[in-house]
Amino acid sequence: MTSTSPPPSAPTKPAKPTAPAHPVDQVVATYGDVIFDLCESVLWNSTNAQLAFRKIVKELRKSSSHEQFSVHERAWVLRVSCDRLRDLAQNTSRRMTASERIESDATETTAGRLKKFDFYFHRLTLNDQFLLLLRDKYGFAYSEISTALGIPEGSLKTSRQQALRALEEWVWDQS
Amino acid sequence: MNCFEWQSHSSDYLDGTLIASAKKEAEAHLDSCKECTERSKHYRVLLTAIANQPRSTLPVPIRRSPLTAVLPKLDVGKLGRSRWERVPWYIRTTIEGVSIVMVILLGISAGPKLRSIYERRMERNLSDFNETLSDPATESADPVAAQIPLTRANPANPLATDAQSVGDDYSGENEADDSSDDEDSSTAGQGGKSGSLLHVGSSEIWRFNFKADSPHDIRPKIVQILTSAGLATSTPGIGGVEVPGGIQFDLLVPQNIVANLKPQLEKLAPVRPEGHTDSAVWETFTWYKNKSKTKLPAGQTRIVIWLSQI
Repeated sequence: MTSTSPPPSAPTKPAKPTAPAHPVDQVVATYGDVIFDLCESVLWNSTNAQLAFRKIVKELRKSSSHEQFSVHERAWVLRVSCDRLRDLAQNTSRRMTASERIESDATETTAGRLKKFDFYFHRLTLNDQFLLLLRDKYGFAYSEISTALGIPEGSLKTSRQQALRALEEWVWDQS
Repeated sequence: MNCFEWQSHSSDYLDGTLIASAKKEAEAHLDSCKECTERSKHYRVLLTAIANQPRSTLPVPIRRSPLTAVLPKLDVGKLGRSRWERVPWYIRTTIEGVSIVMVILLGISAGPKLRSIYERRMERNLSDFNETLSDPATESADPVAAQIPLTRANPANPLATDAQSVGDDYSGENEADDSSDDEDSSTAGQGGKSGSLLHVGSSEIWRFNFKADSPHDIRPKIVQILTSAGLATSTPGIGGVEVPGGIQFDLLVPQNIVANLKPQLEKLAPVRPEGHTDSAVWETFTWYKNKSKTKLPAGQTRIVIWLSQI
């Protein structure tokens, strides 16, 4: 009488538990493009924008304010991004060279100046650049921008008008 | 609505968030104001330019793993930093540290040299000052260098000092050592016992320092001693010169009268009062002699008598 024993089955590896996604990973998935574009627009350099983006993500991970801003996630992300970018821009922001400045000033026609709009835009203060980008490029509400920059809404409107006035002077009033 | 008010509300006007009544006023102003109309158009062009700026998307590797993706090296070439700031930090700090240490060492080593240069300069100025005071006929070219301080006598008992003094390499330093066998000194022993022991060599400067309550009272007495010793009244410097701090006699005298002068001058010094035997203040008469490096005329000795307030 032979008894058949079941063949030894190969030891099965227990499935690795997948680490729960960090909330910041979701933030990156949702707002990554905006943050990166903001970095590149302000720093004016793709390489430095990548580095800045990583620092912002690190900052977001260790930021204790996440809980406070869980309801207004986008405002929290913008605030951390703007704060971090403000620090980074002090050292890594691309500055216009003398020849670029002369070239931009020497352009005679308005159409020519509009083609070099970046040169004029980066003459604005960082806060004005943030404001115009967040409001007119990404279409965020004043309330969110106010939280992100720490500036009252009324002041934001005034700043926006002054920034536009400055740009207009640089682009139009030279001719 | 005027231009200023329109400008104030331009942000809301461009956004289209003005309330209906304000919007009507703004449009009415734009119809009447060409400048604000132009400005409004410019603003819209600017806002369009901002809105139409190209948008970058997050690179895929960074999106997948934002913290671990390999990033390109920081583009430091376009950061507007100076060339020095672009040097690696370990080289920069080393160079800076070494430079600081070198500056400190340089300061430490240069300090004494600068001080010596300063002191030399001051000495030169002082010697120039002395030359202007002295008789050019008797003054050496460099009096400071020409004088080597040698022995100092004990005013209380000069004889004992002279006798006890030990001879040095320089024979002219000690009077007592050579006095017995020196022919020049024998001729000088006219003024008394102590004077007979003095040895007055050639090219010497004899210095006598007095402290007195009134140097001006002693001055004529010294002149009298000098004239009584045989010096002519026309001898340069016989009257003494008032200089800052006292009165100075600086003159060339025949070598043989020095031994006679010393005891007479010593008698002029104020007597030390009893009970002040150890007080240096009452050292009212001191003397010593230097070797003059400049050659003095044969048979002549220079004496310098200094009178100062006690």
